[in-house]
Amino acid sequence: MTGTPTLGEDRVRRVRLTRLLAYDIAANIASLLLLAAVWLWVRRSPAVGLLAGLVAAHLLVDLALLRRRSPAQDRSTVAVLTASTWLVTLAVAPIVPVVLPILALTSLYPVVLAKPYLTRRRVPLLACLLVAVNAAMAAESRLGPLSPLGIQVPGWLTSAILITFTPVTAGTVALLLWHNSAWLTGALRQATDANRALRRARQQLAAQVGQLRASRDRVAAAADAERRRIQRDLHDGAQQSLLAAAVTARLARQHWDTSPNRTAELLDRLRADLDQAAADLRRLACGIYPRC
Amino acid sequence: MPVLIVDDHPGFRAAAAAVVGSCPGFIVAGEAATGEQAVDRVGPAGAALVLMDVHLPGIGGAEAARRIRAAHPQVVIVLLSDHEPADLAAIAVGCGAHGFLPKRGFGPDELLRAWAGARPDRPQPGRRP
Repeated sequence: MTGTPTLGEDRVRRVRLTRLLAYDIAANIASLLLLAAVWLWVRRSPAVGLLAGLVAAHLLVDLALLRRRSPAQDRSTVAVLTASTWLVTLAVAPIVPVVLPILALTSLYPVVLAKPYLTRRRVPLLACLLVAVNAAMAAESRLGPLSPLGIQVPGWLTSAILITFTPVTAGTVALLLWHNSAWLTGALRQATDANRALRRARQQLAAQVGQLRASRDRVAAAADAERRRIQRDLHDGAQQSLLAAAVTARLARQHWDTSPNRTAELLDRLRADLDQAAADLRRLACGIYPRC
Repeated sequence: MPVLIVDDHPGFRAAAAAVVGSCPGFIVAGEAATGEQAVDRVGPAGAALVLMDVHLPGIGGAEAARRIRAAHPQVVIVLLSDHEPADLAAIAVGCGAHGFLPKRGFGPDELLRAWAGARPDRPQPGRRP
């Protein structure tokens, strides 16, 4: 399968898939209505009921696939849808051989859809399978009239179905291609715009990150400056007062026995040093938290 | 022995002056609060010993010591700081100071030992009785 898609490619694929499922559901409902009309007004045979059952089963598969929301499931959704579509065409071909051209065109639906999900290596495999399915349908349609399930449809109805549904089915394929292409252009433009907006947002984010870093650096520098100021205040203030007090206390102790007067002077100075240290610490505390 | 006390903290200058006054033969010849003041005052004060704080406003204690050593080679310079002793020794060697003393535990005995260690050839003043 393809590599990791960009945001825009992913959205394109998602919408393409949803659109195709919606087309398929509408086509199946229309087929069921047609079969109901045949049952009511043309021919009530088991084959008509079998056809209705096949179409209903395919419709249920479509509805189940439509409910899948995860983009990771898109590839398996495509695979299931392709298999379901081809199985239905293979089953219908022997029952109503005359609608072979419509079935052949219907078998192209999943091929149109599957292209974005395939690598170049897988495309030949899908092409071979498409050819094989169409070959099998052609063979079945030749055996169809001999089948016990084959519906004998009046000639006028066969003509009406072929004339009506062959171009309608072909037109649906063409419409699907056209719609995908048109939508693809718009979606790519949206994706481009989104990428441009994303780039602008990234640039703004980078600028904001730069401003935030600068702000953080300023805050860190301010905190460092404040720590240095506190360290300097402590060193130049209270620490020096306490060192002076320690020197004075030591000196007072040495004079204690020999000179009481000198000791008293030193003790007074010691008290002054300690008062100074306390005042220095109080000033520092007020500087750190002013409401002291 | 005239001593110039250099420290920007008045309280520690007073404590250092008390220590100097307690050492027999030592007197306080002057005080300075900056390195520049120390360089200017060491000559007029006739100081033989400078007790120099390392952390000083202006040129700082180490630079002041260098200038004093250059201008007055006979003056003994002892650094006085609250640095770790290993750091203080490195600073003293870098600026040409004769010795160093940590402020923690500074007293008369330490000052006399520093003086004796710095100038062993000088006549030693008497020990404190």
